[in-house]
Amino acid sequence: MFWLYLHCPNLQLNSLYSGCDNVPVAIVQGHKNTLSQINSAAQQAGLAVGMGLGAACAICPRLTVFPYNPESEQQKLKQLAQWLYWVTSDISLVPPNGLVLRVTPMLSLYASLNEYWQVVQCQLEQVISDYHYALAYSPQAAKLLALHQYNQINTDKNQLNIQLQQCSLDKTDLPHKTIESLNRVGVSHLADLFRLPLTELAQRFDIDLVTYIGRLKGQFKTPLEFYHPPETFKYRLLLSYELTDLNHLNKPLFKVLQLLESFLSLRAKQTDEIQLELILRDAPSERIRVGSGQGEHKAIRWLELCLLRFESVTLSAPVIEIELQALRLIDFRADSPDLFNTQTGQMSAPELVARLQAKLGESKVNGVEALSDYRPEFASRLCPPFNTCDQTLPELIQNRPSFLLNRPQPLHEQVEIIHGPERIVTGWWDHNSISRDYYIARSAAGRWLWIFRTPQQKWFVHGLYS
Amino acid sequence: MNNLIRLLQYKQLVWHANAQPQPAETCQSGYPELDLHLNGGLNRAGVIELISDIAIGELRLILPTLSQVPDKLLVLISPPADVYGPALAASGINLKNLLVIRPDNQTHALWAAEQCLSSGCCHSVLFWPQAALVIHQIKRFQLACEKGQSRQILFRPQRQQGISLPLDLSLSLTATRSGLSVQVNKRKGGWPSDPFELNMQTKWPYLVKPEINQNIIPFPVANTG
Repeated sequence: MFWLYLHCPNLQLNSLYSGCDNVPVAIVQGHKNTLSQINSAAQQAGLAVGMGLGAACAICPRLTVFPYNPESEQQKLKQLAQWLYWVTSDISLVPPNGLVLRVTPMLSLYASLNEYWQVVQCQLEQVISDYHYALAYSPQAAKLLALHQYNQINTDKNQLNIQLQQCSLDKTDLPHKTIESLNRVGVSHLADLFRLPLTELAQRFDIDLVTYIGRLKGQFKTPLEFYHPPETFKYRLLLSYELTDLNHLNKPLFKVLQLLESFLSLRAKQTDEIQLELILRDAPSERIRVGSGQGEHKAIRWLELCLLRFESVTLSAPVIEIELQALRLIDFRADSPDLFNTQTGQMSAPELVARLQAKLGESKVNGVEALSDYRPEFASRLCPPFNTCDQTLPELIQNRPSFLLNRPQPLHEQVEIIHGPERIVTGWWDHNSISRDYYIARSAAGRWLWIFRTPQQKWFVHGLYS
Repeated sequence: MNNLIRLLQYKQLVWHANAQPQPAETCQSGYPELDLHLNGGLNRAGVIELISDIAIGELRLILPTLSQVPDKLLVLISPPADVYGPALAASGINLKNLLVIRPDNQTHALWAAEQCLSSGCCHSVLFWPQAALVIHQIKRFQLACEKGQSRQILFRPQRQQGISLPLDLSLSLTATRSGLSVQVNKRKGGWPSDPFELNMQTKWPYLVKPEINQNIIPFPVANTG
């Protein structure tokens, strides 16, 4: 059984979004105040991992510093596992920054070990740049070799054994106390332990050491919990700079949306609403929901909708982090545009409505439905687009105006009554009863009005025959 | 020399014999007199302006055309009052394909109109602008109409003086006893016309002012004070 271990020393650093690579960035371990992760620009400036923050700032004054955050690193590790899950199935997380992949079962899907590794590597390099890896016969051995930056795919057992024996005890998973006591009796490398058979070891040392060596050699099984990807998309991206103008958010946002697109297209799904959370500096975070009527999976379309939505968003503080979440997943539905239609404007109606609603606001774009009610106010109402219900209208209602005034206006001009009256007395059951005589009238200027008279002999204009 | 010709071509001052203007695709308006004057009917794509008062029959003039395309959207942008569903349904418009947009301001309205026109899924966009439009806005509508094969119909209370907007068709409407009096102000590939009478009685029989026969003397009505 082959196991592959991936060790990512700069996990939090790699999860930062920075526009350019030539800014030296470092992650500082809080309580020790030492650099724990640095990027290549910082390395070139002469910094090294383990350096104190004071010394680092003296060497490189323009260093950008972030505190070490175990939570975000854990999250990033999960994201990495999710990303790798597309090419390999058995992944186990080894916090804080390692992944174990079970290779052997995957080899029946890939032609060779080399091809498998190339695919994994390709996938890996899209999201992370610094990593060390090793292949071995047990997860523990692979881990140890990766920590020693072995960086080779080698299946020769003897060579692996030689490499393992050269490893010092410091980087093993053994407790610090055990390592110290072993050092005191002159055991500093694994080679010294490997020389003894397991039974001999068991007589001389405690059970933990025996278990560890057994797992290292592959004689004992290492219990591993494999990763199962969640069925929702949620991605958090820490920005390495603060943004005050939302228009500049399009590049980092597009990166996340592309991840969303590949997530959705792999599952043959699309989403009809996404939620973008903008985490602001020293202010409560801003949640923005962007919807698309028929569902969408393409990153470029979502970006377009988001940018339209941004026009109506004002920020109270700069953005430092963004989180994108797909609220609902729906099955992918392919629309089939006409092959022979030469028309250049190609957008479906729900797409158009989504775009209009993103910019103008959802309440500004509506459909109209006709209801079966004799009261004019209740016979027509606005509804969400395309949700018009089918109601058969009473035959009687024919000569109605095309526009109805929001509330009846008092009639001020002189009109000539052409048709009428049509008496409508109804609605006693819901406290909106009306009692009116409706007439079709023509004003002196030739305007056609729908007017009514109340029992109090007051005249109102209610509709326009446009 | 070459540059000069190119410059003139760029400014569209050179006439090409091979570039005969294609007669615009039209569809019947439902009123034979109007079709006659418009050489076949209303344009299928382009910007049309209707200058009229509200409620004299300006919408009824185009309703028969609007109900001809069943599977595309009809969009109304900032209409003067609430759209009354039963009336539109009765005149043959499928309410499922109707969108009413009420933007906050003219800028949003112009944007929405352009989006709808160029989308390719709308056949007509009816737009009641709140402020006067300028040439470049109409030109943008033209391009959008061409892209989406759609028709923009602008409703305006009076003709804008002084500037000539690049419209495909401009009609002035005034009310008459039995319908409308229509005057073609401007037509692409045609000439303006004198006002002509349009009888809408067949389509809208209840919106006609009856002739008063002069030989009937109204019965004297007692003053009730």
